[in-house]
Amino acid sequence: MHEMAVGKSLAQQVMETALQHGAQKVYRVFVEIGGASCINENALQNAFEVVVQNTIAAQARLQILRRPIMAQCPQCGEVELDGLMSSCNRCHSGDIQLLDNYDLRLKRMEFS
Amino acid sequence: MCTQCGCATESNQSAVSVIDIDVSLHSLNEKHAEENRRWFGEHNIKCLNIIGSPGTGKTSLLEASLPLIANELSIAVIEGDLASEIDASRIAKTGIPVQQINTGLGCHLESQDVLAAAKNQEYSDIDLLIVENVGNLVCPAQAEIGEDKKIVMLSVAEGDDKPAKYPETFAAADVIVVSKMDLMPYVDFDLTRFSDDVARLNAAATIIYLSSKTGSGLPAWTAWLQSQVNQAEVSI
Repeated sequence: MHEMAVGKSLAQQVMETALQHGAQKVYRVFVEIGGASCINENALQNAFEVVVQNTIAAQARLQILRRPIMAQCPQCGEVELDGLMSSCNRCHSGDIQLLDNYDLRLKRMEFS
Repeated sequence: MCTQCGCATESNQSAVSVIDIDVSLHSLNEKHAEENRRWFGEHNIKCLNIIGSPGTGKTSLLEASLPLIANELSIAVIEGDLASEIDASRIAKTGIPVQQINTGLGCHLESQDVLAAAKNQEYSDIDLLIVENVGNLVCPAQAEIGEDKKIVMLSVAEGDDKPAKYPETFAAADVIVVSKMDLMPYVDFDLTRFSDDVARLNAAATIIYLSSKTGSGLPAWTAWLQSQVNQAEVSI
């Protein structure tokens, strides 16, 4: 249900971009999601497929890249975490600040 | 077709254009949330978004606590549920203005629906708009409604492992309310484990322990609500 709203937003952005570039057909759409984003990739795939039916993006393949969870460690700088509650995986300090791990971005499109 | 990644499945690969863009897909939600924020700002309304599982006691907390400060603050409530007017009728009995939003199948309240409800005539002079989101510990945490603060609530009956199991939600909270403290003798809720996990995820969050049934902890909660309007620092 949640992914349907995101799928609609994605489809809208894809169609706007395709129109701006005079695209006839969209082949691939690349999306990046933050490590802690509550997005289920399969649900987003399904939602996108439904929303782009009968559009120039109907055949488009959606490629989703989930980024690692990132935090700022006072000792080590920007580090990747195994989970939201993990310590710094370099110095094992628990005194770290989570960065924005919720983002969801359209990064690239392939079309003709 | 490209043998490396399967791109450009059409035969004429050279005709395929590639563009790199970088657009946030939360922008639609952000845009609407921003409209709400502006409207709340213009009308001097503080908006609080209460998030928690079904049955955690969100409505019971509002019933027990809002009448205690209704003389000092002008409050209105928006209730979100998939169906029924049950929660709105409960709040209405306290005399506090309330509107129910039914989302049908929607797992969280959308900004636009909140704004439409907030524009109700009866709500024009309020200080505090309390939005009780759809009972759900996942989706509402990421769907902004233009709120000033997010309150995440859980009852001790649900277990001390909830921050570890729903970290995104607890990480997004400004305040965490632990309810049904009167049940502590009957449940295995480890307060230390809970607060350690919260500290790990969200050290800045204020935790308020209370029981709507016995009234314990309610003064801390109502003081926090008042501080949101008065902007005075209140120690809890």
